[in-house]
Amino acid sequence: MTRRSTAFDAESGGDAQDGEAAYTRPVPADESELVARLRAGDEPAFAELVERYHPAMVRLALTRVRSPAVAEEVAQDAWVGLLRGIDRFEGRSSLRSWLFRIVINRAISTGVHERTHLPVRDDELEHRDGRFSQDGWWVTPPVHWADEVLDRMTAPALAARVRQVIGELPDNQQTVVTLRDVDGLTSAEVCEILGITEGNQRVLLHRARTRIRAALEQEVRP
Amino acid sequence: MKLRWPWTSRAGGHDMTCREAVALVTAYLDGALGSSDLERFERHLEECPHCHEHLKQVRATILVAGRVHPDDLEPSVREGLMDLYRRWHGDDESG
Repeated sequence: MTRRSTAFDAESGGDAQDGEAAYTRPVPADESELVARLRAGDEPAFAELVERYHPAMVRLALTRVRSPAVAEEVAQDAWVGLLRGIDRFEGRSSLRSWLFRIVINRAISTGVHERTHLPVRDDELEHRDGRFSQDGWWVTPPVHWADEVLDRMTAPALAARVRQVIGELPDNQQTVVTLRDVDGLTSAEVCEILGITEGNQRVLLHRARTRIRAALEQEVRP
Repeated sequence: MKLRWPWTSRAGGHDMTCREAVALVTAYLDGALGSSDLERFERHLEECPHCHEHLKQVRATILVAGRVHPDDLEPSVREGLMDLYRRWHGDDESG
């Protein structure tokens, strides 16, 4: 059997933390109250969590399984896992990290059986696209399109292209970029959920963003 | 053929190449660069319009990625999960 569950291997880099993480949204602060209500069997607390996290849980599962229906099942299983385990939840991680960890573990074990195709080779785009000379300067400098994309941010064509390219990424990159950029988790949370180092996480995120950026470029400057 | 951009020969010059700057973008955006790399990176960016645009493009990429999925739950999915909750608690109570 292929060992996909340990596939989060990328070269590690430095693990410096701190500083501003400008593009992440904050962890919800009122989780401990929700946990207490859940333990007390409060149905609206469960409904609130479902509202908050279910769509992201399905997206996370979809980075490991192919069928949306299977991803729904994985997320649903994770909710059962939450109901079963909430009394033992110790709050050492956020509730979201704990829940998402259940999702990814189930999605990985489901995905191993479900998938039949070979994973895409994980080339590093920036080392084969000839953008830089041997000396390390731009050979073909980027054409300017950032402002245009910001103006057209909600254009359906852009969103569709980005969704497509994310779906084509190697699994590990797909999982990391979905958690970080699509759903706005912090790098610390993502490392905790996936059990990887900050360095590994950053390598995977960097590769994923490189590909998505290139796809956007083709979309706006064909 | 060796290509050099004119601003590379300015007084002080670069001590970071464009390739390096591009490789450090993700660490920079995560606030994970050490102070010396951060200083070199920011100096490079001030002098290099291409890397400056590249950084803007990466930021735009992240913003677009954050908007590609609607976050609303389909009513049938919500109902299914609430049923699951009630069944769980029902089973729980009945032993």
